[in-house]
Amino acid sequence: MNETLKLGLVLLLVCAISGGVLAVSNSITAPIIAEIEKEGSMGAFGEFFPEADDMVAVDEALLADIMSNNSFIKEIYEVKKGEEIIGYAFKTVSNGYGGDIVAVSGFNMDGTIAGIKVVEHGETPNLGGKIEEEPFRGSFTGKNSANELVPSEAPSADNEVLLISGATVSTKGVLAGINGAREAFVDNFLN
Amino acid sequence: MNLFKIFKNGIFNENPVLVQLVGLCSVLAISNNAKNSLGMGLSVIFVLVCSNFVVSLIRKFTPDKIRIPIFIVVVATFVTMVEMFMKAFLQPLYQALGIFLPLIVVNCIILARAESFAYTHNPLESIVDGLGMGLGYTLTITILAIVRELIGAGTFFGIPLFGENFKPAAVFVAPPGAFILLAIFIALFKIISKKKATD
Repeated sequence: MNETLKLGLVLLLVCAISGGVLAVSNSITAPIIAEIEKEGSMGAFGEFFPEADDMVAVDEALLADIMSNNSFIKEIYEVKKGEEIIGYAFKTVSNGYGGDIVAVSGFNMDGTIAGIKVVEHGETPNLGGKIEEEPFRGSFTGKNSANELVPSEAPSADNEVLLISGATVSTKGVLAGINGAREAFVDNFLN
Repeated sequence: MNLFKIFKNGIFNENPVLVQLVGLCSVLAISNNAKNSLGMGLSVIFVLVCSNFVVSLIRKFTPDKIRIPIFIVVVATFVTMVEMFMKAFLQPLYQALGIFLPLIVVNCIILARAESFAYTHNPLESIVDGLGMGLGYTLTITILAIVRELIGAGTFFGIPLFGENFKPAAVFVAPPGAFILLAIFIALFKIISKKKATD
């Protein structure tokens, strides 16, 4: 009994020291981590709307209504500069080659696409994984949102975006989500 | 024991990945990208050196019966510290390493060195052993990653080398490529060390 007690106490002491060291590390890093995480959630959209100063989630009833006939949409935000709405931002989930593709997209009030970004996916590195990269993402920026976007090996028309060679399924997966956002934007918010 | 010999031991004679074949899980997973491999390697070196040092420092007071839980607490403390600081200051690397960072806690290299070396050697020797073993791990995983990235993606630390028309063999950055190349590495290492032994 005596020995068990002693072993327990030694282990307690070691754990207490460990806890103390970690508490100090945590107090140093926690505020920095909190800041980074806050930037991260806003960050993906912030890139599309550099002049924006606020983002507000749209009315829940409206969101539920849009979601009921558009299965890709998960979140919608009004992007504001002062009191003026300068665009809308969407978070969509669509099917890729290796599971869900989570993408965010922004639309300007003049009907052009402000930008898209794939934030989570399970595509094959260096094939479908290229949906993360600039040549693909960039092919959306500035395109008109009025017409359905279609993939093309050499995009030139106003509704064509880059088809990544060897990754048709991944390309089309992202496109499905972005087209869903585009449709919701044109139908509900663009006047 | 000669300090230099201890150091060299971790890199060559008892290279953790190529000879002892421990910690392979993270080696196979992370080595598709040279930058992340280097980051992972450096994290392992840090944890290994610190845990070896502390385990060796408290070895006289550590009751034999509960040494393993104590080792794990020590290792977990350092891993958690690395995790916190990396999350705060090296966010992209933190996200790239994902689950493999916290898994350093159960990486057999670290526990094995605590048990088989640090527990029976003085602090200085233990630090040198940690450095050697950690460097052996880091070198192996980084070289493996450089080769995989070069063949599989045509890039070197993320910089494209061969221009637009290069068609990389993507299988090498996919999981099967890791197994194939690691096997080739182990075979080559064996040939070289055998030759050295007979010389």
